[in-house]
Amino acid sequence: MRKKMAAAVLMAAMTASLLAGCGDSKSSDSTKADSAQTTASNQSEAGDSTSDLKDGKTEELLMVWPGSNASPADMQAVEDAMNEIIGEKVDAKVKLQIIEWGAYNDQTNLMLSSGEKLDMVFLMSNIREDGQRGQLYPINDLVETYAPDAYGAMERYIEACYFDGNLYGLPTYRDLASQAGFMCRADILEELGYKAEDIKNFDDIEEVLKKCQEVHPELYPMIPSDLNSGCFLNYVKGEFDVVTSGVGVDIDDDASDGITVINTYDTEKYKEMAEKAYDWNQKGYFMPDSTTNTTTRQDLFRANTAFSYYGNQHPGTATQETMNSGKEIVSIPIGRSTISTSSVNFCQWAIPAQCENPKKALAVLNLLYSDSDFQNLFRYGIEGKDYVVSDGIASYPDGVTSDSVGWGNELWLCGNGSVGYAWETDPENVYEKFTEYNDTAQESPLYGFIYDTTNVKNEITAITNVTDKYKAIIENGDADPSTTLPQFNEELKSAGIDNIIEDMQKQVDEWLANK
Amino acid sequence: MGKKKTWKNIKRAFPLYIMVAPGFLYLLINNYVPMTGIIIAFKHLNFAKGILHSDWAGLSNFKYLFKTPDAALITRNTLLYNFAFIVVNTTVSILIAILLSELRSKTKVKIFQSAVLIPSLISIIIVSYLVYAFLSGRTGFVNGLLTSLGKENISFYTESKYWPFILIFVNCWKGAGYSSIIYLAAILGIDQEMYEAAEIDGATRWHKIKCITLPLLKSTVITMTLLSIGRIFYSDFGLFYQVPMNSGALINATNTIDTYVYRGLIELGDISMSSAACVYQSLMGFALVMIANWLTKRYSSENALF
Repeated sequence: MRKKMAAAVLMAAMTASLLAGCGDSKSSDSTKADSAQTTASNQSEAGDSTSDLKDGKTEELLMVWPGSNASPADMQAVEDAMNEIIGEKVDAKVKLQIIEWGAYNDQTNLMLSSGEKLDMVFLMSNIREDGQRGQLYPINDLVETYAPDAYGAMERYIEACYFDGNLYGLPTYRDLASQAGFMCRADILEELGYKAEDIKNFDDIEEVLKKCQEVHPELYPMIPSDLNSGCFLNYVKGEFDVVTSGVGVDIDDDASDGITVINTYDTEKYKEMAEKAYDWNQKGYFMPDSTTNTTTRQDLFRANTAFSYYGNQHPGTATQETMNSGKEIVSIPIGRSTISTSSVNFCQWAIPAQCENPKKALAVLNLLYSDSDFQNLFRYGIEGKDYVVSDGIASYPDGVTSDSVGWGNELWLCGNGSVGYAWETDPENVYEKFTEYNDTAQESPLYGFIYDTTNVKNEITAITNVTDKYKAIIENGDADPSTTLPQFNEELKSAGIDNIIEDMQKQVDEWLANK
Repeated sequence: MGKKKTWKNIKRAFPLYIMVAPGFLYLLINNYVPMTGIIIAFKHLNFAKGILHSDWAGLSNFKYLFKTPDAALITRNTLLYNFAFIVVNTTVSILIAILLSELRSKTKVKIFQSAVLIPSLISIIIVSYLVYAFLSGRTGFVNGLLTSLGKENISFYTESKYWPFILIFVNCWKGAGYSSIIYLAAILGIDQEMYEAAEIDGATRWHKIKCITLPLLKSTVITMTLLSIGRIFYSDFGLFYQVPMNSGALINATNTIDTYVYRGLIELGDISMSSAACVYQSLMGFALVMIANWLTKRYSSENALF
């Protein structure tokens, strides 16, 4: 009984401290405001940033990111090696924590909400929501002083990580633009007598699919790129910049005479997609039951049941898909490549609001964006054990495979991967290709605009439910668009899409005026 | 009754009060203190400001539950499904309980009892794939059967008209075994002498069930039903979201309050709005329990919960 009572008292104490903790964080907020006010003095201190970083107190910083294995074999070795490099520049030590993909968003959300120790986090959710709730530390005043290299490397894209005038994250080096393309099996494409260069638009694709249907009736000519969605999920990608709930802008909208916010589902382009989807579905080009399919595209390829899909495309797609599906995949760009706020800021490194020493955390992140040894360590692990290098290209040592390797992170979460080695399966000159791909992309007229959804939350919940009901079906051509599409837009209207358009238009006009 | 007497009573029962204290504290801390969290539903929660200092939102967090054209649909679905579940599950589990109680061999009772209990131990995700194995358009068992009979295939995951029956069946299959055990316990508690007396009077098995077992089960049935009425505004999320494979074409038949809130807020992640949904569900459940209990009291007062 005493035990139970002790437990009860303990719980009461914890509950009380929880409430107190929540109250407490207000004071940290006010210090934040203070720091914003004293920007000037901060700037003048810029010269002696080293004194802040080498203050003799070794701070432990918790760094969290997602991975497929939460405790890789060489975790401790990598952590020690990273701390050695960090120790030269900053009096801090990192503690690494990998959270598995499936649990990542929930877990980090919980960590951010509960205010437990967390100093650097890889954010995959939109910074809009976390920023709105005050869960992130605004780094605008500190970034140029404490992470100058990271800021320099990412300057062109950093605009997308501002929200409400505050900078909340550092985008990672990766395919920052986005583009849709036609991905198919190289061996079968050749057998059908086509070359990748010949395929330029949807008419060409249809011709190939038709031929595929005749020659290989056992294959689904086209499968969906993602689960729970239609085969044409990415058809209009590159035509619109969708900000939320289907509301966005036409990518060709010229900002010089103002920007018109539209419902992208109620456009000629979307209608054209819906009609084509219906037509192709009727002709049997799509896998049946696509929208409730539970097998990933890689597994469908592996099981020899699929020929192609229409999805996201960037310089590394072909090698990546080939690796994951066990079939040689060729990737053919079809849509336009565009760069939008969300294509940049959907993943980034951020400093949570509860971080006690954001200066040191930023300095550590800076290493990830500038120091090649640090970068290689973080991405590939211990040289000689987890990877070997020849001619500046990293690969697995003999006898080590992706399953047995003791460490490994994907390029797109490694800060600035371009300061490190390329991987053997990457396309040749991968970093030049990525940089060119990013730099040549068409900028959305709304690039840099982040929508504040505070006023339209009711509408968004209602619209998400409507979208769930219709979107996949329309994009898979499961229903006749001449009746379904007007019905879809009718329900969107009664769910309040016009309020979102109006509200966003107001914010866009304001944003344009201040630009 | 004087004040003195009350005080004397308390003094005499003091050891008993001490014995109650840990349980009471537990209840207080685990069930009542967290209720203060209800204020989240009335705030624009901002983590930097903390729960207490966030701005008040009035009732605006509740709006999204009613401001949608689907409000009537999701409420109807939630209530009707739960109503059907209560009726079907109660009937089926009483049936199972009676059948089990009629078995003479102890081993057989144990085997059947475990067999009906197993479905309720299976995770709903696995159940959804079991259902998928039966109903899938390409590889499903049912469509395979239809094909071999020369009939047209049915695309279950795009036809909403079958789903009320499928969901009620799946829920019954999963849940009836568990509640049948409660009924079985109640049946086993019935005085055997009554059955013996009835036998002497020449009652058949059917008579014994109809005139002894069922009437004596009445109070258990009422208690169980009152308890489930308290949760009538909630729905089993897994059953309505996972089992239909989140198929868009089925949403009219499968959208309930919980799935609506989930779909809507997965994009926003707004804690205040999801709290608002929970507060709404609890309040409605509370009101319904009070009403149901009041009705029970009126018509058969000895069976009311309180």
